[in-house]
Amino acid sequence: MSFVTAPFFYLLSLTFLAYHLSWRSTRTQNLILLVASYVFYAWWDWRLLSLLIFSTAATYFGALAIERSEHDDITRRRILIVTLSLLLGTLFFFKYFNFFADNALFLSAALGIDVSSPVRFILPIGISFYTFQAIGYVVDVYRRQWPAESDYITFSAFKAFFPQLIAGPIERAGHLLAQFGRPRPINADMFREAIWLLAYGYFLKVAVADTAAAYVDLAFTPDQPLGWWTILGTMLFSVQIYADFHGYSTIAKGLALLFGFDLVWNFRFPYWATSVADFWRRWHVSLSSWLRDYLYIPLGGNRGSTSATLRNIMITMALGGLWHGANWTFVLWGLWHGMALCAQRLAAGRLPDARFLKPVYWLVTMMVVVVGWFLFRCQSFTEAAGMVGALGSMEWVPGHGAALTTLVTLSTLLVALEVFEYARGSRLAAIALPRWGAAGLIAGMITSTIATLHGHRETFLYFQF
Amino acid sequence: MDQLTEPGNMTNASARSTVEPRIAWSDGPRVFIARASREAWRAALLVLIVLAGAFTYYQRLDERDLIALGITDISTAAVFEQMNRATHAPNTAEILAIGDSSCLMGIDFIELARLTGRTTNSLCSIGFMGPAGYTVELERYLHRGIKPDRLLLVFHPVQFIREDNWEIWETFVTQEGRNALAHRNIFMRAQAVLAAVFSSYLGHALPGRWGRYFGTLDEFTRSIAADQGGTIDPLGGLRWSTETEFADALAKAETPAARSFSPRPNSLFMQALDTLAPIVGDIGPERTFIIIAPVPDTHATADDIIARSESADAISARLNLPSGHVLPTPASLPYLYFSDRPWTDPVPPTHLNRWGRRSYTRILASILP
Repeated sequence: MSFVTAPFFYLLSLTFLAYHLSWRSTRTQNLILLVASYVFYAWWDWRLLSLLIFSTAATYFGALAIERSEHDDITRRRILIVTLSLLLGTLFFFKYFNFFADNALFLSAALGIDVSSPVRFILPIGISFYTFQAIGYVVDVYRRQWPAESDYITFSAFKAFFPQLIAGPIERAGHLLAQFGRPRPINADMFREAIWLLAYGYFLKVAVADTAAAYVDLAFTPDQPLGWWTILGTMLFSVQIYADFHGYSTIAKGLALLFGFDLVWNFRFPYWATSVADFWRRWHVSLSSWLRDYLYIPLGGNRGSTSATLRNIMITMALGGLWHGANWTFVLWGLWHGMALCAQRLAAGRLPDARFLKPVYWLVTMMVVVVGWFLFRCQSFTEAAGMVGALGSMEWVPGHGAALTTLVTLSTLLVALEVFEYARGSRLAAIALPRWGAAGLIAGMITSTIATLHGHRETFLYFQF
Repeated sequence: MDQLTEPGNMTNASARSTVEPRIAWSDGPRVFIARASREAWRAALLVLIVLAGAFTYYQRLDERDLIALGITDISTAAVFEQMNRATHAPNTAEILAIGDSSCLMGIDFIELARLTGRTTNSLCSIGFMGPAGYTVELERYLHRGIKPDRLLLVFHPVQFIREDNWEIWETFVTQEGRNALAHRNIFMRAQAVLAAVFSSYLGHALPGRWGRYFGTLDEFTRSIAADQGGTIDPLGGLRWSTETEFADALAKAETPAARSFSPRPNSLFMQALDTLAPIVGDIGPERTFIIIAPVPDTHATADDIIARSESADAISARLNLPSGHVLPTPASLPYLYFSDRPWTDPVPPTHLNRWGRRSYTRILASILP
């Protein structure tokens, strides 16, 4: 079920009540969260629950086996390899089988070989997120950075925790699992912050992202005849993807807080970045830090020669792109950012650091990011080519006016909110306002959400990843 | 920046704690609730005030505005706008047109006025309304007493095969949309008002080609009023930015072999004409002319053209028009002129694209008596 559906609110209410009535036993609370999380996940498709349980079991037993082979490094490594193979194999099979099968079919057809279409598999929702979370955990255990969890209920609850199960943040054991093992009292301030986060998150999703989405869908089509739609559609997608994903992460954080949990901030004002590297320190932080710690650094990071560093960057970003979806456009998006990061590394130290140049660096960074979003949103190279071709016709029609008005309105709202938060040094700055001020802000967000409900969509963009 | 982040605890997560878990109930539930809901109850109150205001505003809206609030599709919007124009727009036009969407999106009435030097107006809408629906519109338009010099009745052959369930549109027009009045609960009434208020800055985009060209339903509706009762079907024509580009494409296009399409007016259609005949008689048969909208050359065999001519004569006779009051407009035009659906469909497209509309208007201006 999605956060914006009625059944979710029923489940949330029941879980909240049962959870806080069981305040004497942390283990009981974990069990309640586990049951709720399984109901939440099974609502999408009950068959997918078996995959989640399999992933949980493989990770749990693998980590324990690694820990029990305390003094046998060879065995530890072998167990790690087997566990990772199971996890990545599952991810690869369900997420990328169709992609590689389609490419194989394409090549076969090009070579004149007649091959029948293979069976197709559904994409289990959230598999990219919970698989990466599992990999992070088992590697941390292998590196002796975190002890293996012995209680299966506690571990399963951590793995399936419903606020972050489907679309992150990708939590580390050291942060989230640790919280499952201790009491999680909530106080009044946490409750107030949760209210703010939920209001903000739903506002971002319904009022901002879903409003932008309708125009983005008009723009991204292979037979797009009008160039202004390519430009406006890409800019609106930049707003949509940020509001959608940031909205989801904010809702997740607010929901977790209702149960006394803290989730990491997944976004740190990414559209304020003045370099591509800075952008990746602010955008989808849980994924970018995961890629850094579990892929980039093990590949060698920047410890080797310049060419090795650049290679490691490209591999990391290409795989990071592929993680988002089984499509060459995602790989291209990853490579685009990889090239930008490489260019930045090569230019390091040569560009002046003057303050008055910051706006220029910001503009260049945003151009790189926005072009990247164009590649990210295109469903195929045909669509990308069609939309680029449309730039040959820059006729302005009334629809462009509506899209531009929407873009300016949504951007102004987002910028105003972020300037307010940044100036006060906290994403929870609204709570520190005078009571009626904070209430007015929350009421404004709720009103906007109600006003734009007719266009809302049940799924979040990152569900498809 | 996040005051809540705590460093990870390195002990085994499931180690049983001897510390009694505390929730803020230790502060006492009254204190907890008072602190926790400090902003929440105030925000809820503000939201309630806004919703109450929106609901009150809704209750004071007149019927026409209430109906307009519930319109979400192109067809209903076009019919409703033309209904309003029939009742409220100045009825001093020398040339008045009424008919289906082949007229609404096939004739440029501002250009027609410029070419003929006569004032024009159009109440054209959709084929589902049919002659009986057009009758209601005409009666409202003529209620103020001024008759046009020329009445153009525009029919596309597709609407000759009238169906029973299209009556709902006649009812819509007769009841001025009241049968489509949405039933809303209190929350939905307030929500509808808020949505309308927000639509100026966060307009809800129409789907497909309509959204791509017009953006929002409000813009589409405005275009009908601005164009003297006409508008554009944006599919197809957007490929060419200028008429020259379109003409170049037209010159290079090859016409596929034609397939037959020759519907003849069925009994339901002919019966509907009987409701139109009296008002035609009132305006004057000598002032009334029939236009049968063109089909693409992909759907016009020689036999089809004869059938069309016979259908037009039958309609003219049913309306008691003098002979020669079927205007000699082209029975077919090159398929590239058309817009709303692929020419490969068995049922041909019924709307001209913006370039076809311009060409057709010039032809009409040249033959209009």
